[in-house]
Amino acid sequence: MKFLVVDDSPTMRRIVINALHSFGYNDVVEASDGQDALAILYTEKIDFVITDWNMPNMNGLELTKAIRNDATFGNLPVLMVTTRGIKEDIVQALQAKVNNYIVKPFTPAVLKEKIQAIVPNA
Amino acid sequence: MAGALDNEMKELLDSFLIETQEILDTLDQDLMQLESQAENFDLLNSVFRSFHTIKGTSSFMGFEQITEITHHAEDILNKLRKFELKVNSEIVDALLEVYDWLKTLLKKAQAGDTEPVDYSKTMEKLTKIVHPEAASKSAQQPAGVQAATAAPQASSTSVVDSILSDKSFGTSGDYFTDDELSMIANAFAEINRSMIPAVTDAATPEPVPAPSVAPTTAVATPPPTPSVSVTPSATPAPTAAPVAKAPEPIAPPKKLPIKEATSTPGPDDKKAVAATTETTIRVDVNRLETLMDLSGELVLGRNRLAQVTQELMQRYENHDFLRELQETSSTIDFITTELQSAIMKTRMVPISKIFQKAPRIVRDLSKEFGKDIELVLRGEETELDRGIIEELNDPLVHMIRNSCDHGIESTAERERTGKPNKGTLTLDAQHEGNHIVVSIIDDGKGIDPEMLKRKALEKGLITSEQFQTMSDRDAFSLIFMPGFSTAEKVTSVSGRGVGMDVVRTNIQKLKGIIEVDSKIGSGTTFTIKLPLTLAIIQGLLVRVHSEIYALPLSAVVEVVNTDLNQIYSVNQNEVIRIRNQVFPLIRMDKVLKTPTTEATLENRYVVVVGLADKRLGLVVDELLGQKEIVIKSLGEYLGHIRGMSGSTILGDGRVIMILDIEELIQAAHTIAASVWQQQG
Repeated sequence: MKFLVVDDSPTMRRIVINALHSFGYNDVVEASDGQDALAILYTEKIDFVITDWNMPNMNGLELTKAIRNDATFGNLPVLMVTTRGIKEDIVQALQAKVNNYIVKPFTPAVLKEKIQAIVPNA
Repeated sequence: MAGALDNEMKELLDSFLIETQEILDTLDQDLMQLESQAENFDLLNSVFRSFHTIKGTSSFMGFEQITEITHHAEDILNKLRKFELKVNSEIVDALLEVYDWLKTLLKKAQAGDTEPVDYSKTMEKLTKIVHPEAASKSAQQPAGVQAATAAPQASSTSVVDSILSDKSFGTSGDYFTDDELSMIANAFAEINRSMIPAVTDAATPEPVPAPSVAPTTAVATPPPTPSVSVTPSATPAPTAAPVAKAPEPIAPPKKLPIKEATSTPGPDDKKAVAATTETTIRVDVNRLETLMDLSGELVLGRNRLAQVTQELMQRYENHDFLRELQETSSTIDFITTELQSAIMKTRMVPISKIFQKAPRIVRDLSKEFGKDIELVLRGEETELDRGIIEELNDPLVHMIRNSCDHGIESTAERERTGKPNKGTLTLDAQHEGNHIVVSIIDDGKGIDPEMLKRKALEKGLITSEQFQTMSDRDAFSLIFMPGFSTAEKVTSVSGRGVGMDVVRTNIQKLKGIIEVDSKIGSGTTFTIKLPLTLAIIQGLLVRVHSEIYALPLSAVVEVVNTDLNQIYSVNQNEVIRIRNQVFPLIRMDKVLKTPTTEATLENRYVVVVGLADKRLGLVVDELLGQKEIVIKSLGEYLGHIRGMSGSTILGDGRVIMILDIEELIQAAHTIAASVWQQQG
């Protein structure tokens, strides 16, 4: 499984990547915003996207919509990282067909749970 | 194992501290810009993201207070983004307060200090902005919401659809109720079920047409409608009239704009991003320090090599071999100089790091004193050694405050004296040879030397004789005396009588010089002259008897021939008059107790040195020229030697001492006091 971690905060990316490594997922690429992430998606085969919501240039919601609208990777699992859910955000995330969301701060265990809820045999 | 985890945690903490500091570095500027550009949505978003990021990362690091206060700030920004609030100075003030707290909290985090701070006043302000009406209604809300959401959950239709079509879903309160949350969880489960087959397929990449994204499996649903068109009212319309752009660009029904916009420039963007991330790396300051030290050693070696080469050339003239050696030596000379300046540059930080604090200070003080002050920044890109920047921060901030407080007059007073209503405060930085000169210039009321002298007399800092004879220039220097404060009344910023004294101490520590120039009615200029770096300096080599000493060139004000007509004796101490200024004089041969002391001053030189506001003349036998010197400490076994700040090694291998101007001036202090009495 190859993960793409999208967040404008290097610290947040590090937190997520550290957790992924601890689960044994060592194949991880990172992007600092939605545009950057899309550029990677066009060139590399990614199996799972973990994206922050609020980012400059292209936010996580726009990224999810762009993913869903793509012919080749439209079904890519997307886990959205949010802060304690502002409602309309969650509703929008549902509409954009985010696979799940995870609320900051989360423990590695919860992250693992959320990933496995989406891809059971991961 | 635990060690590895600790390491990971420490790295994370470092990353958090650096990132948050970087965010804070631009946040106050952004906030102030926001005040004047309330309609700038990009700016608003960027401010929001700053708080948002800090909130997110701090929550992981366990800095609860940071998380809490940024959370409240974020609430306000969310309302601004939704046009439910409009930017005003009350909001900016409150957010700036949050910024101040964040700075404090970050410092504490850095120091490992977990003692909580009391920011309840700021929190009150924030809450009042978000909930102007007393926040009492919230208690009743949950019950009503539960009733409203219980029904749709029981129904057998798609959870996603029922959420999206339930107009009351998520419309009350700021956060979801537990019932709503569990419905949402179900909804996500539903989306997942609809996609899992596709996900496993994706392992063998097989282009899947986009429409299949919609729910296709199990759950009995109405035909898969493209969800975007079902725009639910759960997304409340902005309450205030949307003036500028919509808060969140609503995604268009088809894939057009987003994809088009990103697919073509995509790969290039990635390259660009990669390029920017690769051009800077973070390096431990200690490593740079080591490089600095090594380059210093190299400079010494180079000097020695040059000297030896020179001597060989003199001894064995025109030897081909020697010419080669000379060429090599000069190449090494050149490279060493380049290398040294390159390494020096890695430690250089633009002075904008300090200057950028000025707008906030000036803004706050203008407000507090009801003054209208324009701030002009010049030469912000001028670079200085990082260590110097750190030390310069406090004095500069203090002087900016001072100028705003009792430099620039109130609008009313300016009007009365026929000056433009708006006062101007200029911060200027520029290179001057191996120095940097920072000026703080105001067009305020200026300093009255007579008033300064009177104050000093009242406070018993000078004698009545000194009062009679003191020059204006020396009077200006009085403001640097400990315990001297001229503010008529004590304000929050000045008048505590500690300020300028601290400024002087810091400038002294940096081996800098500070000068005051003022004209009553038209303003005051403070000029600070600092060395570019503290490790390698330009030195003036002087001879005293048979010994060579180095003086930091940055401290040298001027050099004059001894003119016996201008040297007087005051209370058995010698002074020299240079262009109507009188300086205490120290004969270095006496101070250094060289074997034979010539009684005459003829054919000798006076080097006038200065530190902060103090000046002193040193009598030396000969001037040997200017040299780049690397300061070496005297080592532990020698410890501190009075009057010497360190040593250096000359090209010929001789070790010479570097004179400590600060201590010499201190030693001369008693002389200086008596000089004032006789001046005029």
